[in-house]
Amino acid sequence: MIELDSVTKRFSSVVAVDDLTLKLKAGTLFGFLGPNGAGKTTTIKMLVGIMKPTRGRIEVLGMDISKRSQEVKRCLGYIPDRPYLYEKLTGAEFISLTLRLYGIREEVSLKERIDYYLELFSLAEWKDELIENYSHGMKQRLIVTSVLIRDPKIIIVDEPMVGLDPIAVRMVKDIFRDLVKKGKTIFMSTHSVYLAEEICSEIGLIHKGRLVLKDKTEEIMKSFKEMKSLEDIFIKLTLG
Amino acid sequence: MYCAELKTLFWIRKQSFLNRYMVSTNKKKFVFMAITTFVVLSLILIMCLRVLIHFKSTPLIGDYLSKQLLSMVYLVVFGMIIFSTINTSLMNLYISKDLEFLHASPIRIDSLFVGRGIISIFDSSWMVLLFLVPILSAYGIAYMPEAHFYVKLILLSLCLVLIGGYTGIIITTLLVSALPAKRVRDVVVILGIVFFIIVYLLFRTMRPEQLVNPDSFTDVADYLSYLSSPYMAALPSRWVVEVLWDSIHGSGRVISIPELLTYNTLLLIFVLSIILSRHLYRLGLFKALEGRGRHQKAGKVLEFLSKIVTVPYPKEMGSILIKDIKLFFRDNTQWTQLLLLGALIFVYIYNFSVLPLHKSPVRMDFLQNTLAFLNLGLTSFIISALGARFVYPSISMEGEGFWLLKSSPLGVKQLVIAKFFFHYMILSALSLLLLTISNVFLNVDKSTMILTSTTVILLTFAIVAIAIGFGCMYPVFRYESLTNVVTGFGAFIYMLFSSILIVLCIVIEAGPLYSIFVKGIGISKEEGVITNLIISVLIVAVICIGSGFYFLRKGILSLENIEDF
Repeated sequence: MIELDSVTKRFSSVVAVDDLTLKLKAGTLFGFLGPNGAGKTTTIKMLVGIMKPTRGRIEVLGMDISKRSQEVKRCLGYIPDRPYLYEKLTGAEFISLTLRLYGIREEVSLKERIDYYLELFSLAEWKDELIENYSHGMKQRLIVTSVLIRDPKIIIVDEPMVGLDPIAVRMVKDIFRDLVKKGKTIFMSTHSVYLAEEICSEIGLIHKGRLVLKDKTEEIMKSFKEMKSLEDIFIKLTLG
Repeated sequence: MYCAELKTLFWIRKQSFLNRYMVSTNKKKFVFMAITTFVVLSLILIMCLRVLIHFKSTPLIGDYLSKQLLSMVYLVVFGMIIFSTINTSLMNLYISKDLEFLHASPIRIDSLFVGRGIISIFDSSWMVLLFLVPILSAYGIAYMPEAHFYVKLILLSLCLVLIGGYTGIIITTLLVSALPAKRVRDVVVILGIVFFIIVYLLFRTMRPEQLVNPDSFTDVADYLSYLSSPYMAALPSRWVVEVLWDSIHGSGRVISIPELLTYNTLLLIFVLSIILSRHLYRLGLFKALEGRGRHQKAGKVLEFLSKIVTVPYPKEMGSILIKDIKLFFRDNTQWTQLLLLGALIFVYIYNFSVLPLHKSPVRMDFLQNTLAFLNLGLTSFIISALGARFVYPSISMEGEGFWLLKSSPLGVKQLVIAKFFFHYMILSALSLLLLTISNVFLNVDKSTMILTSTTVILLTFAIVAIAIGFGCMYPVFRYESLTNVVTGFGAFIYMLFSSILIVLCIVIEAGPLYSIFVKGIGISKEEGVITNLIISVLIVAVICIGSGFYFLRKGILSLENIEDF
């Protein structure tokens, strides 16, 4: 489903991602953990085609992203960590824009889906308001909504819970679990080891650009029996 | 305490500037910019010097003309500083994103007002002053005044800048305090109208056509009286010119009444602005900060219009353009620029309607066609300036939301092409409108009309493509105000390239066209003039289309590789 082969990203003398190799199967909820500046967001930006790797190859659904980026992007849903949107569009217009960008027609069944998610994320009343009037959390919910409406095969999400209230956090967690059950793949970067421990079927830990750990969540817990929690493992591997 | 606070405010600006231009701009770019600026300023100096030397050698009226020219320059500078400061102070004192942070800090509101006020005046005046240097240097070289002229020049110019600047700040403070909180950010709409009036008044006050049309006066004495009479005598710009003119002729060693008036006005206006700040700034600032979260419903008319306009475009491209149109008309800082555009078109066309062609000693048909050809250049320069304001920043205006487009299946190429065609359609229609109306006023013949129209369409193609190309090569996705984008390095290079292109195309067509006119009036019997003209138009077409495609391609490649936004 997702395959990164010896991917390296350099910014002049700084190596943000160093020789990263990773393989994820369909139906995986992958938690990508790491401290600040470890290279999580850079990896995600390469996965969604915003950045190009300096070296290495990325394949999504068997397609090389450097060669078939448009086809790959059509199958991806990207939720960035900072919800920068077009402030002078309304929520409904933003959703309409994303659908058009992804070449999706707004048919009756889709309209029902739009209404469903807007209602679910408490945005229905706000859909005709300009985005500039939304709070940070509402903007984040709008982006999540715009992605879920499209029903992509893979969701790439960077720090999904930032700015969300507890109700929305619970909702997103439930939706992610449900999507994975239906065979979708979710690549989720997060600082929160608790979140990763709670919902991810697989976890990868990146530190200083290198993948230092990657396995199924329960396997990791078995391998580090002396540690009480994933948090302890995280601290041990990142602080040495 | 006040000094320390002001110092901190200036430090923020200084450090941001240094980080923006000295650290992130590479040295080659910096050197290139410095050399180009030097060349442009030198050209202005040479041009002004030639004019002044010519005036000086003209008996009787030469001196008056030089003084009138100086008055016009200072009047324009004064007007520009007032309007520009209204704009910059609105941004620096009320709208800037860091105001919440500063306002939450223990910094005093008086310090914030004075500090940000000085920064606003600096922002609005440094470029105007830079262009004033070669003009005033030309006066210095032409008239060789004594040293005290330069002392007064610096002192009084500075006073004028401060008077203009503080006037602008006072206007902003009053406007903001007079409006309800939800409308504070709409002040720019009013500013657009104010600017229109300023442009119109400045233009009509100067009446430049009168200067070269002595026949409109009943006798010589009347003409001389017009030249020597101080227009707008109550304005500080006129007082400054009176003092400088006395000083140029060596009689300004003592402090005169206009000089005293200038200093007193500065003092008065400064004190007035401080009093106003104590009473109104805090109120206005709260209003502006509260007004940020105002609710605004989306308009159905705009929705309908944007859909109609984008009918000819493919679906994905159309969606981008619908978004652009909506963002443009919902942002008051954007659509109000159309008012300025209206003022520009009005003044431009008005110029042609008052040209006293029938009084010229040169043959009418020759003059009409020559002016029509010059008009082609002027129209192209206007399109180039509009390109800098509307087309060049169109890529940067995607802002930090660019991630959505970059991660979507819509390719960068499609995005750029959509933006190019959209702007090309509008600007080519506008250029044709300007050219045709002014050509009708000039009463030019059919062949000149066809030639200039074809050339302007080709030039507009290249200008829009260059603007989009450089906009892609130098995008600024994180900006406080669009001014940061349109005054950046990329915009400067774009203006340079488009200006070179316009001059080059005009030079290529000028020779063959001149031959046709000369043949037409029977002075020459040269053969093949039409063929030469066709060849020159073809060369212009190749240059325009070629450079257009080149810069578009370069822009697309550059934007595809941009990862930091």
